[in-house]
Amino acid sequence: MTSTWLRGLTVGPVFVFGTALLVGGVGPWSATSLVVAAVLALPLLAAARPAWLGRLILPSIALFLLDGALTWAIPGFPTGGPADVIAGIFLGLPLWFLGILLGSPERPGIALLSLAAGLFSIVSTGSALSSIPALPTPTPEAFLRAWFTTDGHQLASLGGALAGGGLGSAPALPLAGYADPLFVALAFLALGGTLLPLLGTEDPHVRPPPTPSRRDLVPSVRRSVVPVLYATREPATPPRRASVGGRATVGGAVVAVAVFEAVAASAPAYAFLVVTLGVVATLLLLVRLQRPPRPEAAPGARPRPARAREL
Amino acid sequence: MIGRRGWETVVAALAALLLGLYAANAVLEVVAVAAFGFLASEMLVFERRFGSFGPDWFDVTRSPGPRRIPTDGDLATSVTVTLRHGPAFRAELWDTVPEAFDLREGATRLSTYAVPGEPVRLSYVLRPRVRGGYLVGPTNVVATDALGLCYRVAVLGESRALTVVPPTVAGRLGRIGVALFTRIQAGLSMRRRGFGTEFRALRPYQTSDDIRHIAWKRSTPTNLVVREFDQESRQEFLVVLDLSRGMDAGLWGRNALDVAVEAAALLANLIARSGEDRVGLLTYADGVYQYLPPGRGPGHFRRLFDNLALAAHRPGLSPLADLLEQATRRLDVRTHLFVFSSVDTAGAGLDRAYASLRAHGHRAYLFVPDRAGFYPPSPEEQATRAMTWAREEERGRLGRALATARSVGLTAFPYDRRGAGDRVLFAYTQIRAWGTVR
Repeated sequence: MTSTWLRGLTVGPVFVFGTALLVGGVGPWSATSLVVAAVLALPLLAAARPAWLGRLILPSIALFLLDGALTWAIPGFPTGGPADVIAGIFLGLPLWFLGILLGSPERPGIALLSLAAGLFSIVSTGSALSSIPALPTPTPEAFLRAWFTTDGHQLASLGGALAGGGLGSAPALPLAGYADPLFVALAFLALGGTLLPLLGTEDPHVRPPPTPSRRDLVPSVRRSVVPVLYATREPATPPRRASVGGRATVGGAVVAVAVFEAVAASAPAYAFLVVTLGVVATLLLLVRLQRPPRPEAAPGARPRPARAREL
Repeated sequence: MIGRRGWETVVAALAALLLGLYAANAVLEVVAVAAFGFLASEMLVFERRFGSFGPDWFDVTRSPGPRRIPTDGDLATSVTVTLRHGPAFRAELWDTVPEAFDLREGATRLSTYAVPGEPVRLSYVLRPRVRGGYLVGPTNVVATDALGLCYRVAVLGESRALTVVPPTVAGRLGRIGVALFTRIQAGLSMRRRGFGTEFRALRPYQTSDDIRHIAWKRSTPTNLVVREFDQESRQEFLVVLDLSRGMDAGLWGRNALDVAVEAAALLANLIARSGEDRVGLLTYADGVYQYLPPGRGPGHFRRLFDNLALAAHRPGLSPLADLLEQATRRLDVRTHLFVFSSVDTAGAGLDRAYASLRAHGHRAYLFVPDRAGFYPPSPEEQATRAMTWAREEERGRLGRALATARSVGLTAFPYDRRGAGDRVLFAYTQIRAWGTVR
């Protein structure tokens, strides 16, 4: 099984879950919405050819610009055709993130960002759907209304928390409560599928570029077969298979999650503060450690003289 | 050092944390914390363990090899790197090789897993394309972490200086003319008839003899006799290279100066194997740049070939008249001058300078590059016609240069990118046989 298939099988289910959430929970979908969703799903083809990703996301960028223009231009909640377009974007968004994730095998940063953004979109969709009053089948327009309302409430609650006594005293945050057990399991499966295949890979940017060939300028004539000078012919060492490693990384992730859970359980209001402090401290330590060591002074070298005072 | 990939993932993990913070959703936040913990712990462990990574972690041994190789020779070399201490790591080794070298066998780069005490060897065969001075090495080792997020680089050992000399074609000429045999090789007596200065004998006059060689006092009106002379047993040669920009025509590695150097190396090789003659070198651009008096012996030829290998263009012009005058000043005994010059400026007083050179007993043979012939035809040539026009201009210039040289009595040969070796061989054979180029 190739690494692309493995990534698809581990990462794909959570995004399919996000799409299924909308397909099953909202209806009926207009043809416009389905076409827009299909256009947004185009980056999935980049799983086969990562080089195509740039071209495949161009139509979706045009759709995002159209979405932004519609949202700004239409007062109140969108209805009719514009609502179909925006609902189609919501429908295709999880597959769009999945396509970018699968189309960036050499860019783990992009893949991780796509995963996080995709999970966020699923959480916001799930929260919006759960806020819709119980109806036989909510329409896309009703879903959009619920989504904008939920998002507005989330912003208002965060604003209130910032103005008041922090998260401990904040009113209920609409997005905070979404924790479908299937979603949680699939989200962690996707995280493993995004990060664990990195073990044993390398950054192509670290390797220096190969020296440019100037074979076109080679003299065209070689006189005869030439001797090999100093043909020592010592055999080269065959490459040795690297140890995969990963104990430290997986251990670090487990410890980080355990600490977060412990703090969240004992003092939930301070959990995000602890995360922020921990992240800042880790970044400072990384920047400190990654500095190359100073070159040692040669034995017998004089200390640098103090700068002469300018007269 | 955190690489581009490392910074990219750190920024992505921070963005995930921010999204989790915005949503205040436990699932999103735990996923982001796990991702950040996963990445940060790998980076921290790597940076902690490889903080002192450097050349002192390794032993490096480079295989012995020559200091100079010809452009048509191959160089087999290897470098062995052993991790002395420290943790095992994923390593990428590569040896720095000049751009002008072709890799014939093996690889200059190896991705492997470095373990303390186990040697890792790079082994490869190179062929230089262009003469010159080069540095091979140093060897570089890059240590990367398991995720490819961080790396450290160590530069090991010193570079090795390598001089790439012109090709040694004289040893592979195949059948050569009798005139190019040494006297011992050919089984000839040490004394030969020729155009030297030492008297050998008298013989009856033939119609092809030079009338100036008739011994009038020994001759009668019915029986003319001529004097015979020994050929000079040891002849002096001087290679004169014009380094001005006029010799820069042509493609990289095969321009007019390169071809001239190749021909000069052929001459030096022929002289070296004769064991009798002596050869020197004079380079000129806006005045004499180098002068190596004619000589012989392994040390002299080594010096000569090194200087030929490193001959490069210099600013300034090379007026032919001054070039000949400067050479005349420096030579004491009769010498054959092989002058490779573009003759962009003949200079005032060329006839006087050449007459002075001849009066001192020297002979000069001029090799002028046909600059139009240094560029192979290209498909676009017919479309633009600019190249056709340029070729016509250059051919006109070459014709004028040759006419100028021949007008004062200089023997001149044009040459192009195919080489000047055949012309040099012809001239040298003539000199060995007759003492001059007829």
